[in-house]
Amino acid sequence: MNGPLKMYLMKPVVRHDLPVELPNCMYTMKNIHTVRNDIAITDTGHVSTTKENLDTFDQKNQAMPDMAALVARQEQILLQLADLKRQMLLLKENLKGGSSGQKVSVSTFMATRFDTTDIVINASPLHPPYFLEVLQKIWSQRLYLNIKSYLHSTISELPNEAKILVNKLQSALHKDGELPQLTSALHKDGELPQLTVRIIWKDVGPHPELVVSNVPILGEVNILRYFARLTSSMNYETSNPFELDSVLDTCYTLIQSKTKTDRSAAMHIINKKLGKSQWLCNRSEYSIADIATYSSLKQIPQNEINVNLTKWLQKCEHTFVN
Amino acid sequence: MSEPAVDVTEKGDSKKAQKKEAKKAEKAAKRAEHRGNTDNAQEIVNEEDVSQGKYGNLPLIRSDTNAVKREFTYIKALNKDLAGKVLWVRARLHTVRARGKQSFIVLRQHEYTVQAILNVSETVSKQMVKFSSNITKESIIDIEAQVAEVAGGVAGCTQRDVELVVSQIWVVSASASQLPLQIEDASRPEKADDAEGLNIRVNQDTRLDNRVLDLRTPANQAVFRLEAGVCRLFRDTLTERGFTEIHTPKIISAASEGGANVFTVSYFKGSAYLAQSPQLYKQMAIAADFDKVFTVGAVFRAEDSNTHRHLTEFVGLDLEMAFKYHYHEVMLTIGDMFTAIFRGLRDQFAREIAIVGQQYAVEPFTFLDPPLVLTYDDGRAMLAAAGVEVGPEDDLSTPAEKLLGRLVKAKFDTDFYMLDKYPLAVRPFYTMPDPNDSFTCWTNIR
Repeated sequence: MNGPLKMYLMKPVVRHDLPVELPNCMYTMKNIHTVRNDIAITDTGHVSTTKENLDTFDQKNQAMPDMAALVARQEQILLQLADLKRQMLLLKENLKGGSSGQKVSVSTFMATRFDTTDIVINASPLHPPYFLEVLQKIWSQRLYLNIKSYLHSTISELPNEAKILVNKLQSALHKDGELPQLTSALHKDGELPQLTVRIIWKDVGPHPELVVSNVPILGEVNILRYFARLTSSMNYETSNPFELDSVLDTCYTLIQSKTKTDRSAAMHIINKKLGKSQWLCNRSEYSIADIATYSSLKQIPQNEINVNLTKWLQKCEHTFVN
Repeated sequence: MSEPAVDVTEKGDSKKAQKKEAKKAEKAAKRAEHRGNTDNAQEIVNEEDVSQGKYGNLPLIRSDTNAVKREFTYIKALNKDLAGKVLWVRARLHTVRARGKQSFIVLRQHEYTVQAILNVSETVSKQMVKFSSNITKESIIDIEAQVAEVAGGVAGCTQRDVELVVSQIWVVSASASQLPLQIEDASRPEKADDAEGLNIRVNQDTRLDNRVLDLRTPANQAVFRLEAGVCRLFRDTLTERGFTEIHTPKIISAASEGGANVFTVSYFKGSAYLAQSPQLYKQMAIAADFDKVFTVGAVFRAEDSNTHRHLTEFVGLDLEMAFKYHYHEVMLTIGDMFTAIFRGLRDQFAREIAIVGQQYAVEPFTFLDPPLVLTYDDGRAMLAAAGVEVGPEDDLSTPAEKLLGRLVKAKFDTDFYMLDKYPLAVRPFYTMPDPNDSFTCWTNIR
């Protein structure tokens, strides 16, 4: 009766030596047991790792404390160096930005100027914002306008003119949603900054609204002014902005006016500004006034426009749209 | 001994009999006189009441096949085109107001009202006008009337351009003279600062105790019609998109999905639970190759919390669908379904919405077509611009969510939007992570 009793052998209840097959029909989840010390536990998790499998270097280090201190110091110096390098690069970047290199100005074109990548324009379907197609064209090398169209619940159906405009604006986007191919060598594909413009068709009257902050910007010409100042494009404030302003204000009146006589009065003023010159206000290059007038004239009955303006309109069409 | 006694009795008897007879005679005379009087009176009435047989209380309707059958016109169908026609209307008497030789009755049927008028004339007697003015409110009456066009418009009635000139009026079912609440009071607009208007309100408990009367208010009628409309539009839109409607068990043997608590009901010798979600059955239908299913039905949740997001019983509109590649297929289907419902409500239920709006002032519901989809990061950016910082892996708190709703409404003027790409951290474990971004995933629709 002395000594341990001899017992019969038990079948083990749980076997640990079997490889566990994880199902692969689901996506993998992060193993919650690996977080400590970033040690990946690659086995099935039944057995915990021991300190015994330290590599030889670590084993040696335990024997030589001086060596360990040296290694620690070296690593710290390396870190400091890396930090210094990062600071230098940052400084370099900033200096480059000041010298207005083309590439930098393109990349900052939107990021710094539009504080959002997403703007909303409320427009009446009876007065479609034609200026958007012009902007899309003249900005095509700098900024990609991604147009999305929404019908507000106060409007039951989108009229044909508005539908055509939306299709035109969206045709720049390929079917699969990729950005258009750019010819310019400056950008690689997809590098072009994107600005999402959401057009909400809504009964807002003849003047579209641009929602940027709590107070919307009312009227096509004012939206154009806002864009022109933000992007320093459209040759607005380079010289004689007051001359352009009077044309812009006339455009505003033109859209506002309800009768034919009012419209022809406004068009008379614009026609005078155009005269026999290439562009409005006797300029050699197109300006914000041309864009605004083009957009406004497209919203009124086409048979009310005189020959001189029609000719100019065709030129605009050629420059801005095609 | 007996005789005198008899005599006495005889004497007494005769005396008593005489007295009695005298009294009887007197009574009879009085009665006769009275009868004579009433007869006279009736004769007078008969002489004067030219409308005899054109008003009164109808006998009980007992599905008698020999009874007169009349064609009734609905109040909502009354308009200028019917002017001059004589027709019958059966409706509730909403209000009645007598003024001398005239009596104005407002008839109500569902949420529609029309004014009827009785004038003392050659065919309408004073008695008839008096009878009409004494009908209790909420009684069901039959009237025969000629439709007359009203130039100025009738104030306070839904059928503004016509009124009914009554030639017959019968009470089908009279209501009690004292009602626990007045329909007029219960349907008075809820304006916060209306010092001038009448401020009589019906309390919620009175309303619920007398729900039958409360439900007769135009706003409640419209609310129920809208509720039915939402379910119908849900069914129509999804059926159009190839969904199959399924009906799922409501008494189940085990809780169907974790989270919500269940109600236990006794089930013969054991106990069962009220279904708190049709989730499992929808998924079973998908696995059984139904592809796209939806269900409309009661859902029970034993949640003892008193917030506007918790209800112990509600009607759930559920859909489940298999998708080919991207969950956006499901998201956009859901978005389109909502837009279709909103559009249907706007186009087909404008009247009901306006009626509810008259009693409970609300801003009109706005939405965009196609629905606006914002990503979680867009939402965070909008909140950050408004001064509320939400971490990239934090869930939106209820106030933040409400604020975001207001911001979206201000910027996009829509009450409905979808928030896509929620952080994985705040979603349940079964959520599929985004293949390109390990932090984000699914969609939440607000």
